[in-house]
Amino acid sequence: MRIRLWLVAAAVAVAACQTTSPTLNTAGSPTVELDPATRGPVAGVGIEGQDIISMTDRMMRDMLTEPRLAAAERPPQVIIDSAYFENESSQRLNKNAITDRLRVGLNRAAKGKMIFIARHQAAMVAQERELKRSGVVDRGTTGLTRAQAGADYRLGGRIVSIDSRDPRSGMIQRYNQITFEMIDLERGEIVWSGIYEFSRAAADDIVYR
Amino acid sequence: MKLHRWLLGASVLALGACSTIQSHETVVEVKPEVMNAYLSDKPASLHPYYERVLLEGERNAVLNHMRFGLAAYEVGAFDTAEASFDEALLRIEAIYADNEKAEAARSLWTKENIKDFKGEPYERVMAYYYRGLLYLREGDYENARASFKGGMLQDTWAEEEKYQADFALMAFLEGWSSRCLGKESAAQESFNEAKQHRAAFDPPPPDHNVLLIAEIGTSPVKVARGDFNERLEYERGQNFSESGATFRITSRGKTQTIDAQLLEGLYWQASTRGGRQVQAILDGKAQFKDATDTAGEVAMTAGTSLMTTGVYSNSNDTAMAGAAMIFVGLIAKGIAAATRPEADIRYWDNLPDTVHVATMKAPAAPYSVDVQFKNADGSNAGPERKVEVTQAGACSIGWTRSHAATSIDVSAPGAVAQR
Repeated sequence: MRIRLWLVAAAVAVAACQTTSPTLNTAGSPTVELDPATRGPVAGVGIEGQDIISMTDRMMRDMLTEPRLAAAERPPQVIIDSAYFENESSQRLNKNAITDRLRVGLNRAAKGKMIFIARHQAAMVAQERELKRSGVVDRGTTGLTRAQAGADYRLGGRIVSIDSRDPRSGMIQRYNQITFEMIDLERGEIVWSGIYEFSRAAADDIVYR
Repeated sequence: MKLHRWLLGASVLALGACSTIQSHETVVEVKPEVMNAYLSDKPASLHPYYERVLLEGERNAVLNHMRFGLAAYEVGAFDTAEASFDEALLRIEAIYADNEKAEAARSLWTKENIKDFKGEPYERVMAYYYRGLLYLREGDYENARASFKGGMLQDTWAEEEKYQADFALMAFLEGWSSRCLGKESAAQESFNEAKQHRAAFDPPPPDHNVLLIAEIGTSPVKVARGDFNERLEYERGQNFSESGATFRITSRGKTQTIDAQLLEGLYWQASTRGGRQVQAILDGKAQFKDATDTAGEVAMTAGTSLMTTGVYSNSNDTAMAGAAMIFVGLIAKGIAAATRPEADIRYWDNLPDTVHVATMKAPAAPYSVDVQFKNADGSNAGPERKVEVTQAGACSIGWTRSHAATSIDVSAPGAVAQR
């Protein structure tokens, strides 16, 4: 008798369950990696840490194969910072995360084949030069120069994104494109360029749509 | 005797299921040392608010960071405000797929408000908006532009295509950021887009470099309607009369006034979103609750009748069958009571009703800016107020509100259960 009662109760519940409406893609879709990079447990569709590592490694290797940069008779003086690296994408981003990693990686790998100018620290250098010349501090050990170092080449670039969404399925997709260019600071010639691009698509759970 | 025990148990189950508060709706205990460490870098005046971030946990983290970030912006704690909006946007931008709480929100037995709050599209857009304003304030125009672009993307979920990505405010501010970056052609494109969404909008002349923003009124209110509170609807904010703003700029003894133009209405944005996809699930829960409750009612009525017949006809079998039906009815009633189709009505309660903007070419420094909020009949709404204008980079920005962002309860409406 007890079992029968539970069966009836369960039947009522199951019957009532059938009134639940079918919905599209109810569980959402996990982030789909369209680039063979690893991702962490929290992910979106924009540029993430693994992208920065991957793109800067690739750009670094590529830049070191350019003879005008890495095999010049006199090592060229280059500036790699974010001043001319523009973010036109829809993602808020600290561009220094990209240019700093690129500069540090290149500086370590170039082993003197390129000389890196710290234009992003020019104010610091100017301050120390002033202190030395005014006699507040001594000359240090490497001597004085007439001016701070000028540069032969400087990094420029752009981050752009194209976003698309499907309100029906909740899918969002973003194409991210990051271009890097090394510009000759006398002639304006682009002596090296590189591009890194990827797309990602994902959907939130239906309770967020 | 056995039957009595069963009936009693079923009644207890039914009554237990009727409890309106679910465990996730309560606050958690936080050790004092943890709380003190968390509050240590935040302004003392905001401690009663920021406490809630820990007490209400991850479920309300986005909501609380939005509310308190705005309060921090208003009191001039810009670092705190930036950090709060970054926290909120971090979670908004994360993809919640295969998420346990989201799955629970779809369950028959759990209210929708178990899910981590990410806000409805208009709320998400406004989080990007305030983050963008903070970037403008410090002259980071690229990230400001990215914020406004990102905000516009959040407005693409409207059911009807004509209401998708129609946030004129975000298009205008994207254009303004481009102007401050010296990208006039991109600026004009965005201003044109803003004009498409709001025909009365008058784009700023190319030499304008000061942006003044006035936020007016109180936030849209989320309400739950339907037999089981399963349907989310919006009501316009109450308790305000102002509908416009006039800026008065004084420079070297000369004064000019500029009427701010209406650029965005948040109630309009909230109410034109159309049906949420999750509504289908809530409707399904409501139908299930209704059908189960009806089935229970029918079973109990029939069981009572059968039992009465059995008693009067001295038929134990008939009486037992009636009792069994009552029991089944109670079970069904219990299941119905345990079904939770209520819509999530947590909302960002210190948002404004409308946003108005004015622009100008910076007058000779030093200059001061005051704002006078106006009622619909042109009369003054309250006294004139000073507007702080900040310059960083090529542009300046002044931001003011008719209602204080701090005039809110520490806990958002619907955020935690009131016992």
